[in-house]
Amino acid sequence: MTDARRPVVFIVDDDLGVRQMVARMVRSVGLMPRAFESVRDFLDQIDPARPGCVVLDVRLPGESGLDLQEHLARMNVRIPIIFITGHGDIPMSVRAMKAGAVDFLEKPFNDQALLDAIHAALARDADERQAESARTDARARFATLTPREREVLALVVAGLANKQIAVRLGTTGQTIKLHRGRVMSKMQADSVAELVVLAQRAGVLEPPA
Amino acid sequence: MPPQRRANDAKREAEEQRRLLTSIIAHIPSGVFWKGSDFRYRGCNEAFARSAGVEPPEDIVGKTDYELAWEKEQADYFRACDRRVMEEDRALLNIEEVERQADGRQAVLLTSKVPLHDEQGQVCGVLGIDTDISGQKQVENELRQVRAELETRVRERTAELSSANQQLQCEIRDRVRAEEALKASEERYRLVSELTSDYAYSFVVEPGGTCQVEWLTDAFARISGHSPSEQESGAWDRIVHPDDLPVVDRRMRSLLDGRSAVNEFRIIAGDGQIRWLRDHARPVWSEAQRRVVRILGAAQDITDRKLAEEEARRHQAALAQVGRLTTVGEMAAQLAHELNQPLCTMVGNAQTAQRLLAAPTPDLAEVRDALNDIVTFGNQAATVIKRLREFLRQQQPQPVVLNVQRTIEEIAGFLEADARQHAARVLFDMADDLPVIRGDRVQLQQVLLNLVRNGLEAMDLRQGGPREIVVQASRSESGDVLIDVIDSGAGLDGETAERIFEPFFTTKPAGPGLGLAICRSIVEAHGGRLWAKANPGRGTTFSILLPAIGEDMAP
Repeated sequence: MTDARRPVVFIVDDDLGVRQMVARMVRSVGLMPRAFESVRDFLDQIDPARPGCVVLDVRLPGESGLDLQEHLARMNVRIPIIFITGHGDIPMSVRAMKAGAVDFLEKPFNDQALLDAIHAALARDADERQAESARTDARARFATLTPREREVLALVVAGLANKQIAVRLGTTGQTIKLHRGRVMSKMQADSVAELVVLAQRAGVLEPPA
Repeated sequence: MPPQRRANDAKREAEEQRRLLTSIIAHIPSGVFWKGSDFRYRGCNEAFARSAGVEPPEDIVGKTDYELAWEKEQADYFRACDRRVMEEDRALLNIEEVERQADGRQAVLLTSKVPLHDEQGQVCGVLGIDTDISGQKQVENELRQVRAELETRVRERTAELSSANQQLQCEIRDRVRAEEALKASEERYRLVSELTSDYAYSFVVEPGGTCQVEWLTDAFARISGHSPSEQESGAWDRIVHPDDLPVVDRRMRSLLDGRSAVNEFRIIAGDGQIRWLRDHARPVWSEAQRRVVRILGAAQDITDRKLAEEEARRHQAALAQVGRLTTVGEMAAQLAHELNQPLCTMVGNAQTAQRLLAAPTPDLAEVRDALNDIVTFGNQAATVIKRLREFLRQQQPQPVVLNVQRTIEEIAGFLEADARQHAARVLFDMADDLPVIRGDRVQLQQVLLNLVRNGLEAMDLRQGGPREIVVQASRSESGDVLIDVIDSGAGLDGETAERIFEPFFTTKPAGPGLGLAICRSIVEAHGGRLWAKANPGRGTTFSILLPAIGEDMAP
């Protein structure tokens, strides 16, 4: 795995001791930490392409952890956030979870609880990024199809046989067979089932007419 | 006379007349002009040509008014007058008008226009004469102004006379009124000296410096309970409170030196009660004798005010103590937060060190850093604890023998004010036979205040129902003091009733939840007990049991 694709655990806490301790804990399990003193510092340096998760103190001076959550949502950055707090503030944790936080831990927290939360968050981020890249991939392949091939694809994934497609499109089964072959190869699909999945990812699967 | 000669004579005469006419027209101080039926000028004299801005006068021939120095409105007006004169074949005489001249001057002109006729008697033009009467007008205006001024002056003078007269009338009335007022004032004075708490006096100062009462109003006897004769110097020393004798001595010295004095001091009244006086005295200096010969003064009984001030001071002190309680709670919450940060850091670092050491080849540098941080933050936490200890040392209780009823009454005002803020009422129900206890007055007041505030907040959580808190003090079966604070709030279940006294337990959305824990520790430090119980109907009763001290220990 190249360094640029290695996930980062971003730590945002105004307390130096807590910041260093969490970074040390993260390093001890072989993960890469990056610590920030304030929401502003973090936002200035965030790279949305970088996989990772955020460990965030809810009560920060200046812009709070909840503010950061809103900023990220507005920037359309969907990085998972683990909140930590000095006092278990129920209304605030409810708000944070509703806004998409993956976990909410009370200080002092058990190291295993935090590390488990971090691992879960990183897995979620990786899944999310993988799904997104698969979607991008499928859309790119679909973009190489000609209009005729797109028509054929739509009818193939709707479950029609070559002959039926030929009748619909007013041509011969032989021609359709050729089109179908090109669709399969351009979409890099080995089976109709695979083609259906790719069409779904590309967002072009329409209900049959 | 031969016809030829007659004709010549006639001709010469006509010539002479024409010359005369021309000369008159040229030299009269008025402007003369004539126009044809086409409204064009046929001629004018020098004066008119000047005003029309034409030079020489012959140049006017053939021009209309619109080609001359007038403004358009003026030319329109001339044209209308000309038309009227010619159409009606009638002269227009003495038209007064303001006209702008060729030199820009505004002139007042008196103009007359007459129709001109041809040989057949038909109207063939108009002849006009205008005279500049600006100078005349100015004189007229000035005259009018002088007259107006004169009239104003006469009016003013009349008004002055009338006001002087009125003033005189007023003065006469005032004099009468003053006499009446004087009579009323004497009457008032008599009443005031009879009825008020103040008394006034006059002392005659003898050459040796001793004072004799010259006169003294009746109020003195009423206030002091002493007869006026006791007010003589010497006797005065027995009346004044011994502690305040220096004040009174200073006052007298100051007065004999010729300076006024204002003093507050106590006297011991005839009935043995202490009364506060505020005395204001002024010396009367005799130039002839070069000394103070008389002292005039007035004194006021300010005993009630002094007592109220005393009460307010006590109240203020109590308020400051009550403020201390909220500080304890807030400080504790702050400390909890301050301790949590280093604790979190220490626990996290310790766990990380354990994890690092469990690795096959531990990163010892990282372990050392973790241990260093544990030491640093452990010390930081210790500093916080030290600060707390110092703070608590300042809060040591000061036990004294206490009258429970009075202790509660002292903060009744606060409790009522609190209740008003929550739209509620506090009722007090106190037995007369309460035994005395030993304790820190302010700490116990703080406990009560906290319990009542709790009750008020509990009632805020519950909508509807009566909003009353009863503070009940009674003698318990064991002969001790039982204070119940009964609210009609949300109430408690059995489990909560015990947990509420734990530190940091709270049912409230805000607040550190330390109040009740502190209350219980205060009561227990007094050898008492504090507990809570749900009421049968609604609400909660908090009970404080405080041990009575034996009769022999009571003062």
